[in-house]
Amino acid sequence: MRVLPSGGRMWVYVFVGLFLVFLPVFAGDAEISFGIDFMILALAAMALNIIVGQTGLTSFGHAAFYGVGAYSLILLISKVGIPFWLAIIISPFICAVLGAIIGRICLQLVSFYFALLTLAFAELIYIIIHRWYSLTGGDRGLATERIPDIISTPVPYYYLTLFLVTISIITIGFILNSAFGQSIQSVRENRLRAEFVGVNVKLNLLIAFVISSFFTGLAGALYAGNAHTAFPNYAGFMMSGQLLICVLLGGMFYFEGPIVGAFVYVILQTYLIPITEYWPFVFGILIVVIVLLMPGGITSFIRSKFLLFHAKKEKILNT
Amino acid sequence: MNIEMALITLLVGLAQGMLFFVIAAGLSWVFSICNILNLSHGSMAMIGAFLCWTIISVAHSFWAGLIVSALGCACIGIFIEVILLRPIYRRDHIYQFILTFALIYIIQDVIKMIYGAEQTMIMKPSFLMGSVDLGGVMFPTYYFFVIGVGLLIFVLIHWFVSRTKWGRVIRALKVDRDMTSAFGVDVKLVLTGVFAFSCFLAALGAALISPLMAGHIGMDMFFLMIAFIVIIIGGIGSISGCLVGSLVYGVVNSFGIWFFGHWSIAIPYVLLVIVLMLRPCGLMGDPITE
Repeated sequence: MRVLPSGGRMWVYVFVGLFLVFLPVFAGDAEISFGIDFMILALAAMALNIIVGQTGLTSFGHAAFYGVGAYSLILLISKVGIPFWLAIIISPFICAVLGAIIGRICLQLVSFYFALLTLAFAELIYIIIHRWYSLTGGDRGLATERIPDIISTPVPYYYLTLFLVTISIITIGFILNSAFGQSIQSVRENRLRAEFVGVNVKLNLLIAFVISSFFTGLAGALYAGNAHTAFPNYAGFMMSGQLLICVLLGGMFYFEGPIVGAFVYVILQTYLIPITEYWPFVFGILIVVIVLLMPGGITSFIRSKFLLFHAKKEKILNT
Repeated sequence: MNIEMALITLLVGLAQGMLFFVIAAGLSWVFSICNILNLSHGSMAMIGAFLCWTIISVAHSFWAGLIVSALGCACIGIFIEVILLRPIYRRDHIYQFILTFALIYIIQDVIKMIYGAEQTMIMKPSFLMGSVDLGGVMFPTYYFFVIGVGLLIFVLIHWFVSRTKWGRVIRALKVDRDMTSAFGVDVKLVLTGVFAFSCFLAALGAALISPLMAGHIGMDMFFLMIAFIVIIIGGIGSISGCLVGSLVYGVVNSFGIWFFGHWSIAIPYVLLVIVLMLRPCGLMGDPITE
């Protein structure tokens, strides 16, 4: 897997970047809020893919970090009373600490058991958020009025999101392309052999888990900042499922896969809700079709059908 | 007073555990034999609960409701297995996860289309209405009935797997699918049968729960979570482990509600985390080999 773009892909990135930068110029509020949702989901899916695509482990519980990121932002602003700008920097670090604790315990286990233990922790966190009325407000959610005026309208918040998400995704790209990235990929390919050549498997996986929870938390905090509220279902099982679906729809073995997946997911959600009351039904059927007909995700499908030349070239490079 | 209270709590826990055993046994089977992580198991149980309600309100017979809803769900299971799961048996677990996850969405919405957002409640059959006197403590007959049914199902499954020819085939399948196929067993057919049976059990369990718990949209996630916790605590793939897991879950949960009240909902997950950390393979499971 090559991470940093080159040649034709570079132009795609530049084009998408420019498009996102100039979107607010010609788009209405609906498209801007769509753009914000898309970028936040893309970041969260990207962070999850550090675990799923790179280390080969499956986390069913990443919504926990998303939810904790969202709640810590709102709590820091409303209860502790620190300004928004500081809160959005601190909340991902809270998630990273939580990720270190949960990851330390979960990584004792492998494969299927790892996945289920993350799920159990996520449910535990969901329950804590849901039941701790005095702190989190339970079902009613938690709101704050103290978002600075300058970013309480969609366009400035759009640029804030664009800025943070772009930086995060570039950072993730560099991390995955570094020696560290190579070593966690070696764990995915063959854990035993990686151990034999001297890779500290557990430590590397833990670091990957912490990085992943950091960026998931940032995505959650950004979402809460946009909505001015946080609800328990941000940390729920359905949220974890959504993130995994984005990763798989897009294709987990491609760097840009989660971004494509998040884009398709948000489009489907945005345009299906007004059309039919039963959008989850249509949505479920679409997912089934994609899983059965495009096993490698949309990215792999597009590449093999339309960018045949590139796909071939990469196959040669990868082998 | 406290001893009586403890006795009742224990019996309620055992009865609930038995109900969860009936639901979870199917999930455990499908995972260990079909090698599929079936996230739509709770949804199948939900279909069973709603189907049971419909049949009881039409036919006015509790037994007809139990049997027909379970058989109906088995048919739906066959349909799902043949159309959707066969193509992805050989793929990574994660694809099976996403496909069955999509089924949760689909089934939930289909139920919503048919029944709306209403809640369904089933009356207990008249002969199970009363209570049994246990030395001064009154205990509902229905719970004894449930415990009996659970034990019966456990014994039947155990007998089937260890004593019959098809049980032997299933044990062989679990070890080596290709080799079993090479010996002339129609593996596809057996897998379909196992999946259908798991849906049968899910629906039966949900139908048995129906008189105690109103059917509602969202009960699918409840069932799924419990079934997962139960089979992990017990050890995946072992039916006796599943029984032990569900009884432990039922009793711990029941005492948890007594002692912790508001926070009791977290207890199963704490239990799960503790078991997974101390013994990842579950109480009765085979040790993990990497």
